[in-house]
Amino acid sequence: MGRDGDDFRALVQANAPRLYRTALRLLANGADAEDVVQETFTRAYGAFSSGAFRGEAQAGTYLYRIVVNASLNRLKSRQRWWRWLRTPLDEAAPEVPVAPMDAEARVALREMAERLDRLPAEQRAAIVLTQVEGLSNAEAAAALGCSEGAVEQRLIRARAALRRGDQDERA
Amino acid sequence: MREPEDVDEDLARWRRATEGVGPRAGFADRIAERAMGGTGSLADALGAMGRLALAGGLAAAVVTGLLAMREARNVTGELLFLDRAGAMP
Repeated sequence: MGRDGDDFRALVQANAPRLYRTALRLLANGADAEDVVQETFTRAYGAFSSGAFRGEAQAGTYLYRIVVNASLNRLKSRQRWWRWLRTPLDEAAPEVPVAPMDAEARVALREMAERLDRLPAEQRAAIVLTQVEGLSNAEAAAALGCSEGAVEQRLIRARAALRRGDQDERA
Repeated sequence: MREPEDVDEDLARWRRATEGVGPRAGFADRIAERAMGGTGSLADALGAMGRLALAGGLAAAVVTGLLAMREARNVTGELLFLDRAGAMP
């Protein structure tokens, strides 16, 4: 594989933890997050080997967009077909070192994961990217491939649904 | 109906809880190998061998099928020839 192989390995080493965390925040499932990150790098390798990446910053942005979109697709397909298989974060990925927390916080976290899971995929992505990942609305719009106005609309609806708490927004 | 501050706190908690989370040890090496088409593990190696065996089996089946067709055509050709020959005065 030579120098290209070493460079690609270095790119994966530098970006995999951050991309995994983003996927985990969007999907709340360790196994799904691993699949999405693997898919991201498989898709990225073609672009990398053709010399499309000209710098670390460009590679980071490109990879971030792929991981967000792959997570969004995974969310849509999971919500459509596999919702009944959904498992909470701490059951789905026991090997993931979730930060230590007391029982009350763990329950609150699980409830939050369930509330997020009731949101349509686009709303969930918008709120996680802006409120959890810390992106601006413009950055989230770029990552999601939509307008800033669309992100704002999704945020308003997502926050309203999270306030209602027990209602299924898609019902 | 929950307060907006509750939603903010929930999201902040979600962020904190996932802050130090990372993939399992060796994950980056494994996916780099897989993305580059390498065989990163015994399971991958066995999977590749299985696919090779399947491809070999399919190729053998295709060759056998072609030979059988060729043979059948020869036989049919002979039968036709005999028929034609038989029809001749």
